[in-house]
Amino acid sequence: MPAAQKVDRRRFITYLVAAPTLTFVTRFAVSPRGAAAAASADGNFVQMILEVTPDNRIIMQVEREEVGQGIATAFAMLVAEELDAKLDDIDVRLASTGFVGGSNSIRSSWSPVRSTAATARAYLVTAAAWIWNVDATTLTTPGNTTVFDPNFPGGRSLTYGQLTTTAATLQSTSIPAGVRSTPKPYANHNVIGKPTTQLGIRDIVTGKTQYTMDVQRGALPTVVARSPTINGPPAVDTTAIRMMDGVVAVTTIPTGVAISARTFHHALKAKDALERNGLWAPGPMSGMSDLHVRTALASLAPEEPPPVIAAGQYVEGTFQFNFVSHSPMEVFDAVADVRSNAADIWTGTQSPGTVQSAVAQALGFSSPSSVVVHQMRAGSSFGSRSWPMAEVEAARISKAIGAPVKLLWTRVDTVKHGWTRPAACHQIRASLAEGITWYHYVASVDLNIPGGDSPSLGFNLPAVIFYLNDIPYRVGHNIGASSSMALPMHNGVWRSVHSAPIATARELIVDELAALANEDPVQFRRRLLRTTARGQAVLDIVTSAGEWGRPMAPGTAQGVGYHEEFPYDSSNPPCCVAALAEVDATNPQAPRVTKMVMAADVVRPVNPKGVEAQLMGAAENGIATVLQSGLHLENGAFKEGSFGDFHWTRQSNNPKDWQIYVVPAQATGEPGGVGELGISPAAGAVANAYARATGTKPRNFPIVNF
Amino acid sequence: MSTFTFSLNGQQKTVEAADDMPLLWVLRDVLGLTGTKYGCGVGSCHVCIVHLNGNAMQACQVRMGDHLRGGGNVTTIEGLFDVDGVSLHPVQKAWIEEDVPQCGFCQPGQIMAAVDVINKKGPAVTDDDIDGILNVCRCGTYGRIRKAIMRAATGGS
Repeated sequence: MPAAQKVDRRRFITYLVAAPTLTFVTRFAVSPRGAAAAASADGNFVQMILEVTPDNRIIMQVEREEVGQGIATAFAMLVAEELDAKLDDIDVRLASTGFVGGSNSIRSSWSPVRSTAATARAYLVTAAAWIWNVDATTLTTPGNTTVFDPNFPGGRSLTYGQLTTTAATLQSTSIPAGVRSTPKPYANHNVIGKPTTQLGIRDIVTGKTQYTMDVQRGALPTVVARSPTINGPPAVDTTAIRMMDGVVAVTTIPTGVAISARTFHHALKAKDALERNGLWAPGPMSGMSDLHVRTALASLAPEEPPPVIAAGQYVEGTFQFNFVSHSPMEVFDAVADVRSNAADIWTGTQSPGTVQSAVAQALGFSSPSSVVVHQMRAGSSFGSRSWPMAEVEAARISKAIGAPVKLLWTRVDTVKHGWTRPAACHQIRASLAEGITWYHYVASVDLNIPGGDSPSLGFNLPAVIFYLNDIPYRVGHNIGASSSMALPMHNGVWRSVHSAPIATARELIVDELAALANEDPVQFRRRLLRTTARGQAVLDIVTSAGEWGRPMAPGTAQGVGYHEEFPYDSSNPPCCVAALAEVDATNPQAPRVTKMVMAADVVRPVNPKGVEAQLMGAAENGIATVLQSGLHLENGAFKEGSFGDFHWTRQSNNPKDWQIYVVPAQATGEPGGVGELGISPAAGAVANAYARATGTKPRNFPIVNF
Repeated sequence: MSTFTFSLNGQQKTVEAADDMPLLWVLRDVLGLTGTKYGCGVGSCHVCIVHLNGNAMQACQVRMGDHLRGGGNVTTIEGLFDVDGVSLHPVQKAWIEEDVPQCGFCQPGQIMAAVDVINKKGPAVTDDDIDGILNVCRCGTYGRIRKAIMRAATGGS
């Protein structure tokens, strides 16, 4: 039985496992916000296992998912720092249960991961002292997974691998008082804060990295023929496709007709035939189009904003944001091998625990533990792998045909039937009266959280209001309100959820308010920033590097955006981020961002290269959603079906000039989350630049293709 | 069904396949070579770029009967090497030096597209040439892709 070792004030608990090698298990709290918290079926703890192997490897297994956010590299850096090891000595395995979301991976792991590694180091040092019979406090760990005895003539050392079995026999009381078992002071960091190239990159650039769709395991290639409308029922007559070349099995499941075949080529031909020629009854969204949604959302807001607004001159706007597809680069997919009383699922998921329970329920298993989830690296997510869909479908099909299947959603499936950012209507009215009065109303389509046996329709989560109170400017009166409506579709958490649309509308109105005050938009923000010094610092970086105010040709302009994000527990300062964009809108229907300058103060960057990557990607997401990428609902179906009509950005839509500045660590404070941080300021900067370049007031998003 | 014999990454391969079967599924489902990814199947995302007879092509759009009946030379990400046949290709090295990938899924296709541009333009690659690469990256690594291509093209830092 493991003995409880210590409980930290930050709510984590570390056990030394009774094992032949030094092995710790740490469970720590996560507090993802809103939707994530509600959906996290398996509680609020994730588990980490840290093991030192006899062959001198450090294995870290943690319940997180790598979707391209660099989490494996960052975790390895934390462990390398505290164990005085090299990154190459550490294997990070991301696995099994838990939930990833809301930029909380590093924030929640910061203390527990470092503390566990520091404790492991203390055990290894103590083990060496026992073996050598010397004072443990005289020993050092020079950074190459060895314990070194500098007082021995000529020096001597033992590797962690040589020490692990001895260390495993120690008790916490064995550690002498003078041996440090807590994380290093920040000033002594050698690894954390150093720009570091991601682990595993060689496998990525040589095509060796395996994603779910690359798993073989004799699984039958399988696709699902789906209704043309969202959540439409399966076609009834499947006779014709059963005889098609290469088709092995046809299975009707609640979401469509599954075709398993010799190759995906054969499966796709049968899917195409059934979708073209089958009889498909309309789904529950039948009759609904964009106009209905927009009108319904606009009608949710009160007709008259609160009267306090009327006290001075004001600016106002009503903003419409279209549905946006998540459409991760790797389509939704899963491999399932279901037997009579157990199942194995290969998938890249943010929520393995939810996959276990959803699959168990679909299969009629009494316990989720009968379902083993093999966590794969995922070809991006943006929130779309929060809740299971393909996994449940694959499990049903595998059970029905008694063979392992590899289910692939097509891109069309992923766009027409996959997850989307909910459409929303924002209303802002802001006046200069009484130290600025700010009123922001959000009417949004609900998030659809899958529940129980239904792969798509569980309960609906209303728009989350607290983002509205998070305005990063000092205003006299701040009134935020929201309402929402449910639609039977697949709205999910889309990178930053409501934060980016809120900031897009907010930053446009801030510019318009600055104009009303006859002030420069940068000076206006500088004067009003809530987090004054750090906020001004990032704003100054982008305006200096981006040469704010330089002469621009007609049809082109600069714009700025600013944003802050607080950690959930408010125990740390916020992340501050600013963006300056230059937009060429000479043709207002084909605008291009020509330059993007960003600066972020994330309190304590673990891997500045990783932070830069996240800021770049987030900015691109901002460019896409503000200028060109959205879905169109028509009679219960999205019109778009691929990147040919869902106009995600390509190289020619992106800046030739990217400049990203990551502010060095502050003296105190823990790392802030960076996954969502960059979208809001970039979206605001692009919208403001477009407004200035065209002399318009953008209100509908995406600006092109609305 | 027809028999196709062609060169894949320098090795002769013979496969039985329907004439309308895309090279993408021959690579992935018949030959078990998974570095070339499925992204859309309709030729819009460019994630499945391979080189066919020295030109970048979307493997999902290369039907066996149309393009490989009389043989052909196919290079996938697995067959991309430097001139010595062993080391990483300069574009792959540049990708590592610029730390380009995020999720990594589109990167084999991005690299194959970049190699094609560099093969044709050499050190004279321009920003406009890079703009002509249509590969979608959903993570938004475009800035680092541009830097890596320039680095590889000029052989510099």
